[in-house]
Amino acid sequence: MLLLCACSSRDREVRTYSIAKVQPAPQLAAKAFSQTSSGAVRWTSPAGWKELPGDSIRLAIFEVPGKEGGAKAEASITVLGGEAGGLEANVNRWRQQAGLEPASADEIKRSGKGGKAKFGDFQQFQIDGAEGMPSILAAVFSRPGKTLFVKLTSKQKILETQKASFTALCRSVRDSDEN
Amino acid sequence: MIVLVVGTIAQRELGLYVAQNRYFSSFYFWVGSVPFPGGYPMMGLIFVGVVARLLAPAVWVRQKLGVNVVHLGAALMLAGGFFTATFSFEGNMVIGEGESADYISDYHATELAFIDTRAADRDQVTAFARGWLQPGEKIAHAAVPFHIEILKYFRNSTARPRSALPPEDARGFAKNFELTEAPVEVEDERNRAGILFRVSQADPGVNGIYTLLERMPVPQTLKAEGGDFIVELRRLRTPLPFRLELTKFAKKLHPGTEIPEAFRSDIILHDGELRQPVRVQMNEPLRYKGYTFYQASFIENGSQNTTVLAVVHNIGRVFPYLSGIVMCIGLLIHLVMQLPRLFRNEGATR
Repeated sequence: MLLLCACSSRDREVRTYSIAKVQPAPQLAAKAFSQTSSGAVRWTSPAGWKELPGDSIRLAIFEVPGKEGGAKAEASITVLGGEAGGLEANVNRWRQQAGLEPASADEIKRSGKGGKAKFGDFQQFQIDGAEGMPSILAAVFSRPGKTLFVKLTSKQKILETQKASFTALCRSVRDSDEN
Repeated sequence: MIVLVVGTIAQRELGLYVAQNRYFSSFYFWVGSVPFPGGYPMMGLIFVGVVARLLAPAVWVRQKLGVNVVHLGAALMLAGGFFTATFSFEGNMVIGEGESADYISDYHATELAFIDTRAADRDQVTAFARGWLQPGEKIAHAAVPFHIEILKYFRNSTARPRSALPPEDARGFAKNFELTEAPVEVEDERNRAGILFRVSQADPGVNGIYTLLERMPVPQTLKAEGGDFIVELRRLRTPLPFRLELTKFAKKLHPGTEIPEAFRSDIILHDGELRQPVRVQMNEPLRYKGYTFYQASFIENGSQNTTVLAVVHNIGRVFPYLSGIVMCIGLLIHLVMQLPRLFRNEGATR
């Protein structure tokens, strides 16, 4: 009976205590990544891109300039555990967001453009959206146990002007202990 | 015997943690549609039987003194098991070189923690244990300035980027990702708990549905009453009344191989004014204030190594030693008391 009471009370415990100050979220982002994988991640923001603090899963969010005074776009760096669903599933999900039909594995493989960064090799995809739908530039880095995505979502015109900056961002991704 | 056989065989399919909880650390379990008593009532019955025997005046005769002492040792062992099951806990501490830690993470139990960061000097944690995280559970606590309703909880889960528009009241991570249940892994360390909950009684922009996963790179933050509340779904943390700082981790390999022969952690124990350098290595744990820290593992990370210490807090830890000593004494007493009869029998046969 005592054991039953003890087990029940542990399960319904509410603990309150104080701790040393927790680091703010942006610093937590890179540091937490280092606790879940092989190291924190760094990158070099492209000129003109405004870097905003990350949120729950995105390590960084960028405000990407459009035409002066015009629409802006958004880019992000995200990390997910494991294969994050796999390359085909993710590319087809982006195609769906762009208003397109899913592509086959072969088509996806052919459409990818390889790139190299200090963080590792990546596959870059350009998905031109259907009429009225956004276009997407996305890069996928695969590491043992995790997958890193760099993604830019915007109107087609902005995407074309920011393609070089996007690729430069991808090439700049590296582990924190590398310059 | 049935409990032992069934529970042992089940470990292969269910894994050690689930099998232990289901068959040994339980009050009953099902075999088909037949209930069987689990480990707790069985041990309780054995304890009652042993104590009842010792309380019977008739057994306290000279010839049975040794056997009675052995039974006393057995009762002590069972009592130690009770204290261990009720009050002990264990977990690990993960500390990078140059960093320090002041809490233990449980191996299995999870908690939903709200961290109030409004104070300038320290943060206040309010953590709800696993029993609170049932779908339909409503949480309201004085230290948390909003209400929580648990919508979903999965022992193992994944987050999938949304393919459709999110619900209007989805906030933060839940706006872009949806939680899905995953098959529970046999090795419990691989499971990643996930939770979906609704916040209410906060500002309109904060009220809504949130999703959390264990081991998220960046925790979720809610704004309330002029400050930030960090929300985490994590392995249950037990704060320590002291801090361990890892100054250096070193590993020695077997010559010509990549197999570790030994590894050790050079640590500074911070407790108030105390700054005590200690070394924790294989077979040389640190024992301090009822906690025992064992060198369990490590994580290599180029420029920064990380030590993983296994930590145990068990007030019943002396009982096995005590019961072993008492049982040995009982056996010796019994042997000594049987010697005259043995010599008499030997003499008669000659």
